[in-house]
Amino acid sequence: MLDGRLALLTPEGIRLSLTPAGPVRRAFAWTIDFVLWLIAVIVIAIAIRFAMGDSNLGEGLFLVVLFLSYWGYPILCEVYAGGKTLGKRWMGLEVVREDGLPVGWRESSLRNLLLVADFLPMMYATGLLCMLFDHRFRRLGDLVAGTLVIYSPKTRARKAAQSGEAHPLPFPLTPEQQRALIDLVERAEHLPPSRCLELADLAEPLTGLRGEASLARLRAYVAGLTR
Amino acid sequence: MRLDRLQLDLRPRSHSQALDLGVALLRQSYFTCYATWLALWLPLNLLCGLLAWQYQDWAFFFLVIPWWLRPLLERVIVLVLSRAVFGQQLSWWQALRAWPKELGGGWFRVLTWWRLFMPGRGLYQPIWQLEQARGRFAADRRRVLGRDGAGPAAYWFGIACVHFEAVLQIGLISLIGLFTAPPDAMNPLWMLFDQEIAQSQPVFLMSLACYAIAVGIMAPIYTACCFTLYLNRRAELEAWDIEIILRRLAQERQGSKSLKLPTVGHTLAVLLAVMLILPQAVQAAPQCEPPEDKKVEADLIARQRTPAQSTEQQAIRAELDKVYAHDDLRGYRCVQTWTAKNKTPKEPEKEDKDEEDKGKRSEKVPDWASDLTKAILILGAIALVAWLLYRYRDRIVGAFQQAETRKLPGEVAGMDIRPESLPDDIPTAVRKLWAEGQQRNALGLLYRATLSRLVHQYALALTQGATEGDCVKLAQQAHQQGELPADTLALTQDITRIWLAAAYAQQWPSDAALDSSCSRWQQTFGGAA
Repeated sequence: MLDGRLALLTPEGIRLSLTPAGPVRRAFAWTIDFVLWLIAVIVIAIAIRFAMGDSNLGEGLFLVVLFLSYWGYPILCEVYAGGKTLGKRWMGLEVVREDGLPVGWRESSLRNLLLVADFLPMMYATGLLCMLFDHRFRRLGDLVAGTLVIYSPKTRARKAAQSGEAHPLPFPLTPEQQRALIDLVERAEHLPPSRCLELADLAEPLTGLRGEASLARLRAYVAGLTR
Repeated sequence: MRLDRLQLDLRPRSHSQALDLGVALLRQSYFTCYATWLALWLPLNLLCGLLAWQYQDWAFFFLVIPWWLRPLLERVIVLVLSRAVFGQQLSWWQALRAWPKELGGGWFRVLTWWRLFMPGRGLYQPIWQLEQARGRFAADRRRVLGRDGAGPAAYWFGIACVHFEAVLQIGLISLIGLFTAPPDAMNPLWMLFDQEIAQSQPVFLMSLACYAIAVGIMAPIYTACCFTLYLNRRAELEAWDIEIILRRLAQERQGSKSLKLPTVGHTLAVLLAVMLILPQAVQAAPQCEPPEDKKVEADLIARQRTPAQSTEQQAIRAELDKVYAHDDLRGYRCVQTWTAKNKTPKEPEKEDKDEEDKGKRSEKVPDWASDLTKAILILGAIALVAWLLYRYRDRIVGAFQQAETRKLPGEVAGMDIRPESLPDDIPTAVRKLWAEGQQRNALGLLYRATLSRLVHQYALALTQGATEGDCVKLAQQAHQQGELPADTLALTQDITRIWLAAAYAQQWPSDAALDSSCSRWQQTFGGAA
């Protein structure tokens, strides 16, 4: 079964799932970061020019700021802001280690320094190819540092419990099956009515009914499950 | 449509995650996809390249043709993937034969204004191709599928893919540029910036070839990702995931045993396959010569062995050898590493610095300010390095220390042999314990003290895991090498014998024997520590 997720098992036996993010999403995050950096650098350049004029000190200071901001911005963001630069935050991505732990100085500096290798021969062509061929969308820097870029986990908001009279299940269901029933009732309003009835007919072994009656019975089951 | 055969794990996921899933789907049947796609795409490009070469006035027109026809060619990828996603693998030849039948529907739209302004076309191609929808119905379907952000997601995905194609194309051109550049060129894209060379025919065709390769790589990825977005969207709209679970529930209720048999067969098949593959995998590990000292050791063991007394013993020995030859026990590892080839030192080129513009600076900030800042920055860098060295001093010092001095064991055979754990006058303490009736403690102390002296006085290399026998053997070796006097060895052997008999067989020595041992100990090792 193809599923974009990676499953990790912690020593406590808890299953964590991470979803590695593909090149397109990451490219947008990179673009946002780059534009923000460019704007910041231009503003700083104008400020320095304004304050110091055309002097050696101004030029040197600008070069130092250029260097520190280019290399420092992603590293500082990743270490202190939960693995997210501003672009990644906007795109809902974050950098973690391969075992799901947050990145530290070592991983973050390695993966960002290796941007140089990913850039070769021009415009991150190597990094792009590497991401497309790796099954976890890692570029060279990620491979060396042992990191992953994943979608920030989001908790899906459950809707309020179903109102109405509850009805006990005729026989026990697995958690997966219970979740499917809840999903069905929650998504019913977005489904075409004919499709809803079709699904209700499919649930005949469970409800013993067909059509509208079956759907109403399913609602009653779910009211019991979500109470 | 048999949803139970679907190879995707259906669950509600975001559009970008659904798009990413396409790469995984493509990976599953990458050979067929790329083979069919390239079988159409590369010949078309070759043909157009040749025509452009022949009729140079029309070159631009011929170069647009592959770009223009691409949406129709992409349908062959959708064809392969739509079968693969339900577990049916087409061969590339079958797919090519079936391709012309897939061209109907939507081709006018796709080849005219959509070609320019609709990078998200991949999401909608399956509507014509797989659902066979036409006209107004197709438009309705497009509207439904594109709702809830799916349409914009496909649109932006398409725009990103166009840029990726450009990245790959420029990357390829600059890779060629890097290796063909004149020595003083700085720009790997020098070919495109030189007006004369850029317009020459070979460079023109080379960039076409790079375009063909870049799109050759990206188009299946684009199509597959849009296709999984389409599938995800339909699964969401039609609740496929719920249908699969309900169907499975119905099947379970019917109590069909036929469901379970195939799984057992499947597991067996997998097990068999694993067993067949495993030996080869083990053999595939790198083989290498054992290091010199291991060879000597193996030689020694072989020479010390008496000839086998029976075939049974021979068999056991063979088995033992096999066990010891295993990677975990043989004491060395085979590792493949890179080693440097012969290096030729290169003379650093001198850089000429033009100092001309120094005079032109305005005097708003004096020159000494920049020198001061420079000094501060350099001092800061030195301070940072110093701080890092100080911060990690334990690790750095520790790394050197461990290499130089061997740590003396504090414990041998479960006994504490540090000198500070022993009383000053050993024989007196032993005699006292013996007189008090604590025979075991007395003998234990005597033996402990002996080992301690061997380690600390004669620097015998006892290890923590050494047994009493090992200690005697080491003492013998030290004697043979002239590091241990004969009487010390004899005393060690005697005390070990007495200790072993007492500790493991409860046979206590006579008072006289103990007394003589104590006096000999006094003579050999001296009373005080």
